[in-house]
Amino acid sequence: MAAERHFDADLPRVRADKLKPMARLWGISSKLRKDECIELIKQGLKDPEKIKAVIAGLSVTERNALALLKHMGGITNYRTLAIGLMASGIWLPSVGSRHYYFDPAKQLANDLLHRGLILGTGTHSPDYLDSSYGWDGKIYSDDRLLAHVSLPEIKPFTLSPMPDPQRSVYRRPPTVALDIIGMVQAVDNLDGLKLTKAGEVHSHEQSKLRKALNWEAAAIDLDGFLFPDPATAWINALRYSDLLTVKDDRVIVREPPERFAARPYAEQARLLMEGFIRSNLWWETPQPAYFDSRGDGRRHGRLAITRALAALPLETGSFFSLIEFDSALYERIGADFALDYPPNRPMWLYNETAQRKEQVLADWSIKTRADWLKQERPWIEKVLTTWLYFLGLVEIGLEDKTPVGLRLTPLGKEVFHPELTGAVQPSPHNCPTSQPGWVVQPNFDIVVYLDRTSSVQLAFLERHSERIDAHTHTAHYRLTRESIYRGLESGSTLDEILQTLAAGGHAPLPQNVTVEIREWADLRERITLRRQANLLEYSTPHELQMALKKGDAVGRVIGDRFLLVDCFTDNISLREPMRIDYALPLPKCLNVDEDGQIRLKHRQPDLMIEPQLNQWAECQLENNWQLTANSVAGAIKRGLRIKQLFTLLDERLAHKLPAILELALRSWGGESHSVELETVVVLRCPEERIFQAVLSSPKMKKYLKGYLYPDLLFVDSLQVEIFQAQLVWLGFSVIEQLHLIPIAQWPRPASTRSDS
Amino acid sequence: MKQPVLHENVPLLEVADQQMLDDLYADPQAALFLLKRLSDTVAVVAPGQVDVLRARLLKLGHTPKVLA
Repeated sequence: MAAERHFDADLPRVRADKLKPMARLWGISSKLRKDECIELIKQGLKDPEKIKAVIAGLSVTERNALALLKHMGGITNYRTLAIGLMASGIWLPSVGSRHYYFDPAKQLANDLLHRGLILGTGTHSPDYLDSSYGWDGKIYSDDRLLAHVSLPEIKPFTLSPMPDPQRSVYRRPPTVALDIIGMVQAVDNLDGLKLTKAGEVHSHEQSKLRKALNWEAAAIDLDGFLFPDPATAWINALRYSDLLTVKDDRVIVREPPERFAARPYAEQARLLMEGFIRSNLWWETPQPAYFDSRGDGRRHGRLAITRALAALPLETGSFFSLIEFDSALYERIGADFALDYPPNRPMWLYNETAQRKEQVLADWSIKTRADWLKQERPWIEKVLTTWLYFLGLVEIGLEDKTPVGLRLTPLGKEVFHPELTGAVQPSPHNCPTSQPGWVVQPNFDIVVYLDRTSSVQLAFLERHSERIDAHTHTAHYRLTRESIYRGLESGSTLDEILQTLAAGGHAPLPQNVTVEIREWADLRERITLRRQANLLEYSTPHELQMALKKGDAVGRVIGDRFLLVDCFTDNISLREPMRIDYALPLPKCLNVDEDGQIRLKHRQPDLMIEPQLNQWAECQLENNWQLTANSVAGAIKRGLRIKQLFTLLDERLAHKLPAILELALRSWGGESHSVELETVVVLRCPEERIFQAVLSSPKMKKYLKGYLYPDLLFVDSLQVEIFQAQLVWLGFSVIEQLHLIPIAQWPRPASTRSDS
Repeated sequence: MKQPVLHENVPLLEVADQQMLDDLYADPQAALFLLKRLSDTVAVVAPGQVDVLRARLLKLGHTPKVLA
């Protein structure tokens, strides 16, 4: 969970001329110095009574801005907040002041800043709300201030109910819970999802999740509605709803699926709804035609739609036409919101007449509405029929399979109207009923009645059985050896599994099912992998027996010299033994020479080194191994990788691996390195003019094979004597030994040097 | 009496009978992760290879109990 946000650290970075108006909120005189103002504001924020008084003195807009900010986690984009307030019907910027350059959202943010209710998250300064100064558009408020703000208000739409549609569809809370828990459990079963370096889930991890949940990549059909790219959608929603958290390079479930399942349905749905609102990577439409690469437009729009749903009249419980809903939302935000670029007001010339202005504004309004109907209207329908429908928050009215109307489901009323808790009929209670929730059949199938099953029970079934399919009222699971194994590995005991299965069905399990589950559990007991066991090793069997006899050691005997101990404190009566901790780097105890001869420097009693060396090298005398082409190639053939050998040598060698041996190991491991070797006769011409004369002479050329260096020529070895005679004829003194540079003087690069 | 050695945090495999461990050592892929055999039924697992060995065991049809 994120740490509490306080203004304290940012206040000193607020310019004095901006801080003093902020101080007035706390009744502080602006004549005080900046540091005095900061101190008094800090004191005010520590005093709940002063905060209550401040909140009571706020305007409706200010109070609701804070309430919505709190609703969104205390930090959000200023434009999201503005659109959310507009959609709530709480704040509508005055029309008269609007002109081309006027940005009402920015104006709202500056007003809130001026009052001392928010600060920006910009690196340049928390009081300078300008993106060109490193500000990402985010504003936040002090959590102590937000703690005293109540729920954001909603001004209901004035909408007339529509006649009941031909047909309507909605998802019932148990079905929604089943799907959400299934997804959380699937992520848990996969031990989380691996992330890329950029922090996004790997595409192959998405494939795994899709496979586990039987999803198609492109889209799934949801009661006739298309839900595109479900893996991206849900991974995003789960991450943004804080149900997943990042650990190392994976994103894992934050809490066990059972604990999530124990939350009321409304809370489960609300969490996921918030996750969807914040998602930036997923699009409701498969091939969006608009530009919104950062997802800001979708985030603003999704919040606006949820606020608009909260503004639906509650009294009648009737359906409302989608067209009217859309018009009502457009009335509130249409002049300031679009998925791509918010519409700009017309620009006036200085001599524009009032009549002309009116005409231009009317034309602009018509165009803005037309653009909305083309772009935003279809998207709103997709928002309603994808995640809002999936979460069971809206019921969609259909005429000939086309969505025409909507109303909130009982679950939707709970989620969108938390202020009416108690007044709204709550969704079916999330606990088991007096009737059996399922029937376990002798063929290991489980038929689940979703109305009679709690989320916790569903989470149990998701963890201990395989879901075959699910319908509106029932789901079909199957008990398998793998599913029972998975449940046992996650911490359930055999008795818990048998008891919960029987209790959910209000009947004893079929006998063959009980017997088989017990057998599956017994099979699991036949092989145990211990990640971190503790072993006491005695030098002889006799010493182990003596220690046991004396009661010096407590544990289970392994072989003739080892004792498996649960924890060392059980054996506290022992003299302090030598300890080797395999969770720490093991001693660097090996030497190796260029010939691949490995020597264990001194007898180290760790249990790994000898078998590991035996995998790669031939054991010779005691504590001596020989790496050979055959031993390394053999290890590779058995399935080891050369990288593992280098890791072993890197961890256990007391010195750097000789470079020539490293090359040999790589060659033996399959890498290809080539060099050229040939016996040649060389003519070295220390003087360049001699070199050039010989090289350019047609007479001499026929004796030469080529050159290697600016003063070295290769002579055809079959014609050496004739060539030598020619050189003598030229009057050259032919020295029969090359002047060589001693090897020791070769300036080796540091990377190829060996310290051995 | 020589001082005993305490090996802490050793990855171990323990099976129900000798034949089972013989079979695992005979499996070329499982054998890669099995180091010193401490007894008929217990072997040391190569460092950091418990999960890979577990995956291999599952593929071979076993359902190993994994303890921390």
